[in-house]
Amino acid sequence: MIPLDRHRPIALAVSAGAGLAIGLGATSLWSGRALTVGVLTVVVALLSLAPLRLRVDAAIPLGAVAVIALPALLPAAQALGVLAVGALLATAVRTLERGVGDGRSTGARLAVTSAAALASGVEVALRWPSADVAVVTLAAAVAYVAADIVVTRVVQIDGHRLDVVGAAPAYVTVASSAVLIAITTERVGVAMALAASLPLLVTRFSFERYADADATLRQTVQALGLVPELSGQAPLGHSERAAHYADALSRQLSLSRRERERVVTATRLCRLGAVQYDPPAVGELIDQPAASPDDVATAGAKVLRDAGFPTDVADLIEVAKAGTNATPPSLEAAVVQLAVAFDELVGRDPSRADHALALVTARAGDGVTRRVAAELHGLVAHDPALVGRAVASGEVFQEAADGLDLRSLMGPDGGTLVPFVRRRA
Amino acid sequence: MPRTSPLTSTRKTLIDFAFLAAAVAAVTMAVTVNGQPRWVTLVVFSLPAVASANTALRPWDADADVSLVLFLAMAALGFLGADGNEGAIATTIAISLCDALTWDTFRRRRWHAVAINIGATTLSAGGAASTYLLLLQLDVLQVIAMGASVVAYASINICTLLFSVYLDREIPVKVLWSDIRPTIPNYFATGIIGLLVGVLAVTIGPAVIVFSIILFAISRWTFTTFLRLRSTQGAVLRVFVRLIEAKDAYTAGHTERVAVFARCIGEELGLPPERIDRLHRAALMHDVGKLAVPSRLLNKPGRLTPEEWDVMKRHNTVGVGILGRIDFLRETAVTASDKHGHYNAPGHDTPPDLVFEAHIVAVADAFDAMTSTRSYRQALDQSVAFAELRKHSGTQFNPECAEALIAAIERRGERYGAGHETDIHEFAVPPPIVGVGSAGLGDLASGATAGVSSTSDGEA
Repeated sequence: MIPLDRHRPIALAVSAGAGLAIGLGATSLWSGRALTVGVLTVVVALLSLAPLRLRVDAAIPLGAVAVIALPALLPAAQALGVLAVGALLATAVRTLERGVGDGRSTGARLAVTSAAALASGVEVALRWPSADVAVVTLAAAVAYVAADIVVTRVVQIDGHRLDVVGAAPAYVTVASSAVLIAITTERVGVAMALAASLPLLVTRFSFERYADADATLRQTVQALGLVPELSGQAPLGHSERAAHYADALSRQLSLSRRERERVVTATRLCRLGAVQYDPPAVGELIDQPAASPDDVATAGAKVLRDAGFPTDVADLIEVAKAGTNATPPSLEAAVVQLAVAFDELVGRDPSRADHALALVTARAGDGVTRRVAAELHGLVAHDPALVGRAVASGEVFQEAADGLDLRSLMGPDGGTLVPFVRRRA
Repeated sequence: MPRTSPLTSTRKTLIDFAFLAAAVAAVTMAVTVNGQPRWVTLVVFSLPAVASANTALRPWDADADVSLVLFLAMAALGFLGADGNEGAIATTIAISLCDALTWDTFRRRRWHAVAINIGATTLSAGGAASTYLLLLQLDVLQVIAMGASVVAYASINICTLLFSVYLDREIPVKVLWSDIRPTIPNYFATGIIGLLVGVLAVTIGPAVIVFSIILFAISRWTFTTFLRLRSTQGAVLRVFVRLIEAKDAYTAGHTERVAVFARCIGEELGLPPERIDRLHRAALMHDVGKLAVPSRLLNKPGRLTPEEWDVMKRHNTVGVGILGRIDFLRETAVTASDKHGHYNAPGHDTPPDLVFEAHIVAVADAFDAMTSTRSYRQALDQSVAFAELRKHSGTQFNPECAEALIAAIERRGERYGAGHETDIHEFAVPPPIVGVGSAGLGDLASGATAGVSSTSDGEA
């Protein structure tokens, strides 16, 4: 979950000072003032801790602007010193703030990207002494981006793996800003470096608004997924756990970001239609289910469409028919169906995972479902902690339900994901 | 809700002519005093401006639009101002007009809007360019000239728009101002950056403009995507509202009416727009706890037993508690929780502004409950509802919020309650004219102690 607006004031203040500080620092270095080198180092460190984020998994440090611009502005030795000490400072602060793991990943990312940007910028400057400052900066930018893509394949940032495609606008933004700041500082001087950093501020403002809206939407969908559970139509935590499996499967199957988001959202909301059917009272005898999973899928899709929700998600819910053995018409539908079925079998007990895997594999009839089942098998074998993490994600809500037996809403067999098919008491 | 009073076509035509005449006069004066537009500059800056204007974001969502046209017009002004300044005013006006003359307005034949936009844009851009060049000639510090120029643009633009919209629809200036106020930082951000980039382009070369446009284009793309997300967010909230109302068949339209009343109170109290948005969202979700209450209890035609009443309360509380685990709904959970809405409730660790919003929602909730027909009684007259709100002010209701709602409704001349209902549920047994008991949650407290299911949402 993303704490909204927590770092915004600090980050904005840091951003505002960035251009001025870089310009002041760079200019003063030419006159050899040690104090300004120190200030510049601190600025690099602070900027490296402030994110330029589009989403939680598409954030790059604002300090990238400084890392990319410095090779063109300072002699190689001074740039190396500033970047090295800046990276150390940032690592130390992050370690104190969030612990060794985060500190280590921050440090590794900064070290690798700084080294690449500096090496590339210096190489271009040495090889072509007459090269324009913009060319040197662009060379540093290309090296920075390449190194960042490589290093974020290995280390996780804030517990997430970087979505390179999603972060592309942020990369273009830091590269463009760095070029603007570098050429302005080099050709006009200190004061105008501030002006050159203003477009970066506007872009960052847009990014922040987008990131907040994205986080809010994710959380609202998460809340909506809980509605059937609150109404006693599914066990508490089911949507959260199934979404966890769907996300992991989508990544395993290399679905695009857009496809992955659609699959995860559809998995969360696939039981929504059940809310229209009140579960029978505890002990009530019923012959027929109130609604079939088919009806639930259709009703849920209709509710979403009527409210103006993106139709692709509603369509996926309708065709996936989660909770049935219907042949899924697409890979995405198969992922939704399998994630839901797997959680239905595992529930809150990770020890059931092997049995559940065997069952879903045995039930997989068509080629697509078999493929997804095999991927799930591989996923759990490769990452046995996956099921535990999924279960833990659902437990957050379980804690809030302490003192209330939501099972009383579901009837005596509360815990099944097919509350519509109640056995006779 | 603001009243609108459509203009007669004659009056509308007169306004159109006045705005167009002002634009023609401004352009004539600009060409006479400062010379004809610089055609090469005009073409170079107009191309991205035209592209940007014709992929414009929705005007009503312009609370922080990243305006490429304003940026480009000001960049051209900065560029020409540092390069002899001849023709700068006319060029700036011409580039700015790309915002007014979009394909969409012509396609939809919105001639009135075209005339107003031409007038407002011409006067704003002309005023800004004249101010900038005049101050430069007076050897004023360039930064001050830039600031004054943007202030001139913003003031003229806002004043003309306020004037035209007021004449057009007679929307109170206060309401218009609250819509326009959030756009002010945008004028300064894009206007000043545009001028700076234009000035730098003379010294450094066109690379500055190219890289700045890249950054602004990314901002604009991000902002467009943000608007899409916000629209989806609205759809998700609508799903919530539908599900809540589907649980409780007797309270059709209640949630959205409460949100409207809460917004009225917020506006009457002069809350900032972002807080009113939060309030509106919270009001839409105020009955979210009902989702955890079995429908058979919510829709029970008779009285609830004390045991059923207890189940209902517990489920509501836990429902709110579970949803409160999600960051987005954490604040909303405060308004959805009974304990915060009551004015005399003991102190909590909740931030005061959230408690105040809970008070607003409680008043809106109670007013709608009283002015709607429920299974246990018909809608009360508006005057009776007002009297009840005043009677319980200072105890159950926050007096400030209660008076704000009454004042807002009276000032707007709106009528609610008996004889003025819009969403009427058909009951199998016609409800009595007066009585207690219901199908909601809010006023359970008083009824429960008496063993009566008086559950109108927040009814006093």
